[in-house]
Amino acid sequence: MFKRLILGRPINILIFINILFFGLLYLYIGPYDVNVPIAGALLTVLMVLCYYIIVKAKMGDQYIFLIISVLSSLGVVMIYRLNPQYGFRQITLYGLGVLLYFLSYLIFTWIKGWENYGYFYITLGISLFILTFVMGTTVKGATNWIRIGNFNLQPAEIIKLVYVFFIAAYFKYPKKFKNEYIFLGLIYLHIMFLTLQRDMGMAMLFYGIFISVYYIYHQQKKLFYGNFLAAVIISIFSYYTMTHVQVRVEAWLNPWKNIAGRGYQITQSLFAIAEGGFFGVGLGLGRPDYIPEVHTDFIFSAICEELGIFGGVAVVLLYFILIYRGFKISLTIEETFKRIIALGITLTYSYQTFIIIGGVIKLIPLTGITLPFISYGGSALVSAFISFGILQALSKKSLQGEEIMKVGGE
Amino acid sequence: MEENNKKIIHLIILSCLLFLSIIVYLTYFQIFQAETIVENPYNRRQWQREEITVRGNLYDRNGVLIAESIETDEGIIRKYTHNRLYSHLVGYSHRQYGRSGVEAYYNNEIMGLTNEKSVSRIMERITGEKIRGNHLYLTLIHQLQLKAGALLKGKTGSIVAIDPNTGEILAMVSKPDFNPNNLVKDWSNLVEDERSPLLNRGLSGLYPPGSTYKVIMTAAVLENQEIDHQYQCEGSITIDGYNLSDYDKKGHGPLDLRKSLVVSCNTNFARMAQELGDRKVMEISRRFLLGEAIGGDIPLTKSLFPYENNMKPTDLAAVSIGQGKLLVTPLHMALIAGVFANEGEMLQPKILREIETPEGRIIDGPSIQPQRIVEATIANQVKEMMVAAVQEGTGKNARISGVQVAGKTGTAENISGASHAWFIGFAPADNPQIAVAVLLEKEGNTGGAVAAPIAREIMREALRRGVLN
Repeated sequence: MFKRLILGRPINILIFINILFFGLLYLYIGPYDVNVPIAGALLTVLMVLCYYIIVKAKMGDQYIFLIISVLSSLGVVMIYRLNPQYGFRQITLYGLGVLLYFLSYLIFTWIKGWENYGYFYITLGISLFILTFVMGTTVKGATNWIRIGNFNLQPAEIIKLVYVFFIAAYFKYPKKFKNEYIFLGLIYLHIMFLTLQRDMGMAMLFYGIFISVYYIYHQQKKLFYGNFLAAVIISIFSYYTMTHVQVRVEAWLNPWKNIAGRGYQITQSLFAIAEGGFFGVGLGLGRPDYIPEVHTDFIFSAICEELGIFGGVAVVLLYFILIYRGFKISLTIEETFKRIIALGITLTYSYQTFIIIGGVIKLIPLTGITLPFISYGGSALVSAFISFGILQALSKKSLQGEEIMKVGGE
Repeated sequence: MEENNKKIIHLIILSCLLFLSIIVYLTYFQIFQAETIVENPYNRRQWQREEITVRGNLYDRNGVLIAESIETDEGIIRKYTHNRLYSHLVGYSHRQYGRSGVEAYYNNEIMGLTNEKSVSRIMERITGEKIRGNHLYLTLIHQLQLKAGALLKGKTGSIVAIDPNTGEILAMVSKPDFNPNNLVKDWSNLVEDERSPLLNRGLSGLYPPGSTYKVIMTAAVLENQEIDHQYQCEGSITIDGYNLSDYDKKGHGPLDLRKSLVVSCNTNFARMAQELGDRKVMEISRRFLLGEAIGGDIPLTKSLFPYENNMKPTDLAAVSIGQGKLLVTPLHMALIAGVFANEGEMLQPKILREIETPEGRIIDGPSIQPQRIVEATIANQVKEMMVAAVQEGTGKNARISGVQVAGKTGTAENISGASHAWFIGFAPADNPQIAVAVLLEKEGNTGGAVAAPIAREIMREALRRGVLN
């Protein structure tokens, strides 16, 4: 009975997890704040409601939204635990995100001919970059924020999506862009802009998306390998010309040499993860607040400290199921443009997750980038919801049978 | 399209590998690195926990209080009842200066982290009650430690006493020392003092062993029956163009192996080392764990034996009398003496006897495995010769009336000037209860003259009290 109640339907697991999470939060925070269970209940109701809309309206893949919801719940709980004010704001942003999720689903479905606007995408992308340079403010050493009124916007989060559209549009109609070199030039222009903004994480991510799609659709082997060479040259060049890259690499190779200085962030993160052990010290019982930027870049370390690496691994596996759904959707789409959009979005979040988690656990050099759906931050959350809204739309197409093709055993 | 799908599958595999690498790395990190990282003094969580934890008390084996935590209105104060007596071995735990000694090695046990259930931790959080750590009973004997402290007063060096049957450390003193209760006041002087008062010489001081090393060479010669130990000592010997002489340069006359050890004849040992050859000398040194990790429940600095492959004849001669690049710690020398007391088996050093949990449950300290170094017959033959060295040789000052003492003196030349004085030994020879190593740094006098009497007093005190029986 109990087993059926919890595991009978996937949505029940989500409800169960949220009851546990918000129950713990309510009990942990000193003067019992009634707003916590209320906010938790509202959030859960919203998630359940949206889930039923997706199922009843036959909007395609049912699991995407479910996984996103679990990740977002964990994000809200962790952020609330770190800073209650940010926690409530994150819930508001989540609401906005869900709205945009459905909106982007509808818009992407209604409007036809997305593949025809290659020039528009590239112009929009580059303009946003230029805008960042003109109006940008520098936060944490990277000039990648625009301030509008009370809001800080990170244009790169939007460019990320536009960039995927640009790549997809190019491979749909390669002739539109005269030749391959112009396309490659535009790709490296993106990467150059990001490097100039000192946003190394994004630069890595953009390169990763491009090279992966290019791996599938390239015509000449030589040119494909040439891009690897370019990556090596860019890495070496930026290492020797930009001190902040050297600092990052040094802090990665041996953070213990300078714990109070360059290695500070990463060692604080490692202390937190080590402290957590396998099962964590318990929600609200650790000291993740010792880590700088814990609610954005380092939220994974906070999860590891309080929920243990079992919690951390669970999060990694959730991401893995999410991107696995994405890959599956892209495999079922035959039409090149849509296939690349699905693939591009999937790759974006796969690599982004790896770059930030790998960074905070010192597997790779640390670069400032957000953990999708969990980190605090409006631009990233909104951009992620829009992206997965589009993936949801694409999954419907693939499930409706319009463009279904035979994939072994399916 | 087919080709296209295959490549997408490649990308799926790539993503799989990326995610898998995160999981594998996290697991690796947690198993192999986390433990040391948590203990890094820069980890502020440690001290935060300290505020809500009452560190357990430390006692000697008979329950004499060594360190205790006192709860006051301003927080918890760590007090060391015997001031400087246990300064190095027990060490200190101080928010500003970190931890050392037993306070550092057994921090988790003293803090009660090893037996803590997270549920009880939550309860204590809610009720605001302090977490109680475990009390530790060490293997030390307070009276023996007092005696050792008094004997070494005003000198530089170390006294180590162990139980050769169990490897338990009974006393360990290192001088100069410090008072762990006055760290704040004394710290800058302690750090700047050229005599390194913060260094535990017993565990981490590296010295040439001098003639005490001859006990190992004796075992090597006994293992190789073909070596001729009859020798006519003329006070000096020329090896590979270098002249090596005996301490008093007069010559010891006709010698066999026993007599060579008794009078501590450098020239005969140098000669026999040449006959043994470098392979055998290196092999027996490694067997006695020179340059190797010894283990045990206390971090002992590795002794140095920086010879690999071939040793020159002059190196061989130097090593045979405990000189050259060879360096050892006093505790290691006490363990080596213990090998001959214990029929050829070496024990790992042990400091923790029992843990008492806050609920009063007693947990035994880690059990120590003996390791066979030489055959019992060889060890007993060396023991007989060590008894003779005390009875009629250089170690006469270690004699105790009515008790057979086995021992070996050493006077180690070193580049810093005055020679170090050594004595290693154990008693009673037929039923060893205590093994000691005494080192006096830059004493400028022979081991037999200055170190042996100190060893005698320590052994006599231990046997008089009969604390082990």
